[in-house]
Amino acid sequence: MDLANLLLIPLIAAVLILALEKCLRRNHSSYPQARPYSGGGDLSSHAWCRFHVRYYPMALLLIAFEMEMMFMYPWAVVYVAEGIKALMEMGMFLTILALGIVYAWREGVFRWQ
Amino acid sequence: MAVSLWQRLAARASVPVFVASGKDEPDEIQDMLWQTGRIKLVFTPRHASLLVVTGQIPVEQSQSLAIIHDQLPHPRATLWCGGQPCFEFIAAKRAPSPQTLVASAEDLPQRIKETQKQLLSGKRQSEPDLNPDRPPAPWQGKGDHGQGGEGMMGGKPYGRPMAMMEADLRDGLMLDALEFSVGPFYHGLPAGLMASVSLQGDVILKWQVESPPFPTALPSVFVRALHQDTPLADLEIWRVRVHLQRLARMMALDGLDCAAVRTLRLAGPLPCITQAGLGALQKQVGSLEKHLRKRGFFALGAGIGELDAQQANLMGGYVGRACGMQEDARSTSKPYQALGFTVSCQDKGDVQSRRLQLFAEVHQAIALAAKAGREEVMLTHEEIETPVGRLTKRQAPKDHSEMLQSLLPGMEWREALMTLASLPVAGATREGGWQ
Repeated sequence: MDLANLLLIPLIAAVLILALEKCLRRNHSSYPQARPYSGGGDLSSHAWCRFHVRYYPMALLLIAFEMEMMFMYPWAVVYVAEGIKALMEMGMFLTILALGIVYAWREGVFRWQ
Repeated sequence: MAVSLWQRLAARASVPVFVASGKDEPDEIQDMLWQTGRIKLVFTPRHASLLVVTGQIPVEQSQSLAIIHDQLPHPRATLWCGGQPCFEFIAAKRAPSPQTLVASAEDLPQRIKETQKQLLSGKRQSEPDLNPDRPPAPWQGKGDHGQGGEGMMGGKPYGRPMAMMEADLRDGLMLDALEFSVGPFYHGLPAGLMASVSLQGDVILKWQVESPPFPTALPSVFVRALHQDTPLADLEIWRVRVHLQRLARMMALDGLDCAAVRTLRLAGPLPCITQAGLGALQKQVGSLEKHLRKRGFFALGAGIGELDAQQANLMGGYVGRACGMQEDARSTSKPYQALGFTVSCQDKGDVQSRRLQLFAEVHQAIALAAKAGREEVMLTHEEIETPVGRLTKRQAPKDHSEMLQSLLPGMEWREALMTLASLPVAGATREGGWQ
């Protein structure tokens, strides 16, 4: 019975959503309407092209430092048991990362383009 | 019931209007619409319900106008003001109905509101597409995904070549360059300017002018001063007006709509201003400048669109003075010298300098107008410094759109639009416009 309900509710919801979409859907745009706007001009090459994602290096750095934080949670537990040895290991790890930051800084990664 | 309620509510809202400007002083009409309540000028036809065509559209640009027309969502209508409808644009489908022609610019706001009401109530039919409903670049590839075409990219699957890699001007990462043509009705460009552009991301790689902008009509007072005695105060008041209108367009481009409307409201009634009103105007302009400084209007243009000495020399006028050139026809005129006129300049030649220069010249012109008005100074001179450059009996300020081809590559799109708005790119005509 429960399983039947579980299947029935999403099914009804899906049918309702589809019906609603059909009722409310606006007419399909004609080709002249769907043309990209450039003040009366037109595209001369295909719109499939690769863009430079300018925030890419910054996004990559963010992920790198998020991973660093992830390592620090289990390390906090280990630190209680291991003491100064664990602290030194983490210090080495953070130093290597800090060198990475200095290098990225020098290369202008933090300068927004 | 519900539908009519929606219609009534929609009829009370602001009417979104896209303006396509043709020849003959189109900016005056746009400025008037900016200040009119319940009319909202929008920057793309997709957000508009009415297309307003101001001035005369040349026949060769009627196809571009048809493209713009078809991009308006339904229900839509077109109003023509200050020029005859181009019949190629209307196509053979239908002749323009009499209510689409607006005889004078003063009637335009009312006609816009009426037309919107008629469209929403169903009394007026939405205009059909002018271009045929078929793909502009039909499928030409072999196979469902173009996999049978030529080369690695599958040939020309949609009738257009694939974007190819070109050298990058910014950081050396070569990516695909998108090629397209822009204008003549693009809101950020001077009316009539058409260019073939190559973009890599948002950086302009190439800017080729296809057709120059329409010449702008100089206020007749500047032309008159070449031939006969003209009150010097009138010249300076018109200078203030034209400079304020240019600044308002820059503010609108930066998203400072309220400040733009405030500026246009200062500029609009200037031809009828009294001597007593000039003192108040000076204070209002000062307060506006202070407001804009706080909003970052000047700082936003720092380091953008810097001209070299040769380019500044070629453009002359306030652009040259923003670059530090002490060039001004007024400095050689005796009536101006008697009023204690000195040339004011900036030093950097970027967008920020041009904005500061325009404000400095507005302040100076108001002070000169007040002094000249009190002393009833008249002027006839063979060289007149107009708000867009030097005017002589033989030569009007020239078109400078060719210069954009070397100036704009390397700029981001936003920077290019800011630069364009700060330069008097279009040439000038001597006619007084359609006013």
